[in-house]
Amino acid sequence: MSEKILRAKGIVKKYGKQEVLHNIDLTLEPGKIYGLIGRNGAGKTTLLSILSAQNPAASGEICLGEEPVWENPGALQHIFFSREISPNGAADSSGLKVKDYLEMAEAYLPKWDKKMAEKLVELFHLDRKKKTMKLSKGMLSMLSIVLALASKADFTFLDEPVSGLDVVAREQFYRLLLEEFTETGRTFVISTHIIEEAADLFEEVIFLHEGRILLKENTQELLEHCIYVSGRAEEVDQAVQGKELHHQETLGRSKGVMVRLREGETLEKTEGITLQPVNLQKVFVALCGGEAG
Amino acid sequence: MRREKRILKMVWEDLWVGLGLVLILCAAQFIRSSQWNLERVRELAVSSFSSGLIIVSSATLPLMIYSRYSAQEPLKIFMGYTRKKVFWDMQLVKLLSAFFIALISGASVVFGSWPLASLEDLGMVFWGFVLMMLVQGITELLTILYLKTRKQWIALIAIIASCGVIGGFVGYNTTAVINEKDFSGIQISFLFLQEAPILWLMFSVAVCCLMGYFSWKLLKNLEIRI
Repeated sequence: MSEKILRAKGIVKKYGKQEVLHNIDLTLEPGKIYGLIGRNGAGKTTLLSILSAQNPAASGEICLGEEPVWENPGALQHIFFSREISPNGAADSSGLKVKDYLEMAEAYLPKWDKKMAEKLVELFHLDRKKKTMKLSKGMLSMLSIVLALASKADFTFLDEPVSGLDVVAREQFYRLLLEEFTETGRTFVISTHIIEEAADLFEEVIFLHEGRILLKENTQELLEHCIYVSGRAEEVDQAVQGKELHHQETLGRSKGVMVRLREGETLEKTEGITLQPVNLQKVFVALCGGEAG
Repeated sequence: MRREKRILKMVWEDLWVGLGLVLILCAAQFIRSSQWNLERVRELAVSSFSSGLIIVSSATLPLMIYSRYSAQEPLKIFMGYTRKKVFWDMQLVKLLSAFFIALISGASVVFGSWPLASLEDLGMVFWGFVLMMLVQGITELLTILYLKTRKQWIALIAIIASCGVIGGFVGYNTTAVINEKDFSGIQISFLFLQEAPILWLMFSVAVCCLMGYFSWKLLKNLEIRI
């Protein structure tokens, strides 16, 4: 298992004149599960595809340890981004069958675990002879999960791995992921919209907002530092004075606001206000969803 | 699978596509004729098989290039294979496929005209090899350009041209078979090249290199989609 750190420095990505990633600096440490969370179009897939050298950046550099990742087979054998497989005919690979993907993975992924792949294919009831264009969205997600887990890459990125999966398959995935993580200590970066379900898995979360990293923090610490304060408007205002506030909501004389405490900062419970813990989804909405009315 | 084995597998796929088609047509021609002897086989080897193989391969090889670059090569990059390796593997496949097809075609000319086979008879095979390299180079460039721009019409040029050649060839020869004639009527004529062969060869090599260069320029920063 590689103990090297994956570092991105000054990553900029442009599509034509539109800049979609703005000067991103990011460090991924070995042996962690990261949650990459962002709204649609925030740049999550683009960022992961650049980190794995599947797509080029306009500027900036990605290094695994000291080695640049771009066009470097030595570094690339430690990184795998199992991106969403296109279900429609727009992608030219859609005519390929499940078995073609598995055969190519066996040929090109240096750490490919064939036994594990076979086990997962059985578990998910994937039909090897089926063309990917004929697979449902859930089945495509399963194929993507098989590729990711059996790749055994030290840094494995998954893009919306549970999209289209039913609740049983989602639970299976989370269990498999945890088992694999416990056994191998691989690093996983999981981009997802289903935040609450996966929140317990994430040791760290990365919030990507409009092409910028808004936050990269230990999940537990982040949740401990975020509190929802509600009550009569004047009392709430008094209690949260000088604090970092997000997502203020006013309804008549009542007010609610999410407070993000800084290091060492505390919030006293006073009469007339209620303090409530917030979940990761609420934190994300408060930080990236814009101000409430 | 080792890299060499993968390359050879691609070359093998290239060979049997063209070879299979021409062999079927030649077999049909042989069966339809009343002379079922070695002399007839030799006659067909020179008149139909050798040039037919080059014509058909000049159309099937570009299709194989298109299919690989659009479907399989992005998957290889997705799985950590570098663009540089993808490019050089493809150059090797192009070269080996054209070489082996020319070799088979040349062997059939020698077999058919033995013991009178001369170097001049093999001129067609050599220029056939050059033709295959050129059409593969053009398709490679067009396909990568299509992948870069996602403009379907670019890919359609190569596909329609190739399918037109294959369709025309099969149609012509099926008619020839039905009428119990040889399909020598569409043997390739490279006579115009023999006036200044070195010049034509240098020109062809330069064009191939230039197309390879531009293909790499486009491929090295290609966005992949799967």
